[in-house]
Amino acid sequence: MKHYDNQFTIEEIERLCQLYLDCQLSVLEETELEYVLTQCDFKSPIINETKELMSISHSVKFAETRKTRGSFWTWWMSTAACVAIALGTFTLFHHFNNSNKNSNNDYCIVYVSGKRVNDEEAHKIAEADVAKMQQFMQTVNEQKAQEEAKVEQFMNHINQSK
Amino acid sequence: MKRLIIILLSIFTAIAVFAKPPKLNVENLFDGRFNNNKSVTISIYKNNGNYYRGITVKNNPDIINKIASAIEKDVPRASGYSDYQGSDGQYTSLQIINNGETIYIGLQRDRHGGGFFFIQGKEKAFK
Repeated sequence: MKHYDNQFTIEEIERLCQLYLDCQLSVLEETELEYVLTQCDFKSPIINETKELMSISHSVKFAETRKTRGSFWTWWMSTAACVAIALGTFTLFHHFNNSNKNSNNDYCIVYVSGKRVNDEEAHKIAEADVAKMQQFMQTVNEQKAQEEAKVEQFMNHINQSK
Repeated sequence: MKRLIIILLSIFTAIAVFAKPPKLNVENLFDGRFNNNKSVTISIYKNNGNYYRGITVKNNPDIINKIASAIEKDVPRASGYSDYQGSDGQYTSLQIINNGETIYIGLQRDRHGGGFFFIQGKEKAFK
């Protein structure tokens, strides 16, 4: 540890620190200076400042490393999201395209007493059936309204009795 | 980013679930089994996005019972159900919601073993 204390004087180290602060050192020289600073016990404002800067530099490098990892995941997630969007859009387009095709495809098929009838007769029978269905629903709705009216009347009667 | 992916997956899952066909038991009655039956009239009609299927039965209690049984199996899925005895027969009615649209199912039974059965709704409800 004291090896560098013997090799460098405080003035020399300060001079190196000044060069470091002026960005005059190569990467290799910066690394060596960093090593020297960790091994020596010299203290001065410029040495302290250099040590601080080096630790900041380390944390910045560390952050950059993390960012690199993060950017890989971001890239991967973005790609996955793009693929999902593309697939989803294709599926939706395909679905709605088929829906439109089908909706233009009106038809009428009728079997009477075991035999399929022609289109004209089929339409007449189907339309009559649809009318019958509407009559059914009207009857059911009327019945429902009547039942509800009865229930309401019953509840009113109960409330009045109280 | 994770949140975005979760949202996208949720949307696609919702669409997939939303677009599920109803697979009703009563739909199986139109698989062709009654097409050649002489006591039955079958109508399958699609027009302007409306879908209608009907069976009219004359004097065949066996078929009426099969239809009633299929309706009973769909009752748990119904959002509305009514059954009443009218002067001209028994009325059974169901409403089932699928893909945001209502499917109407009805059966009117007469006193001679006959009846009229239908399924009706927007085309979207059956996809």
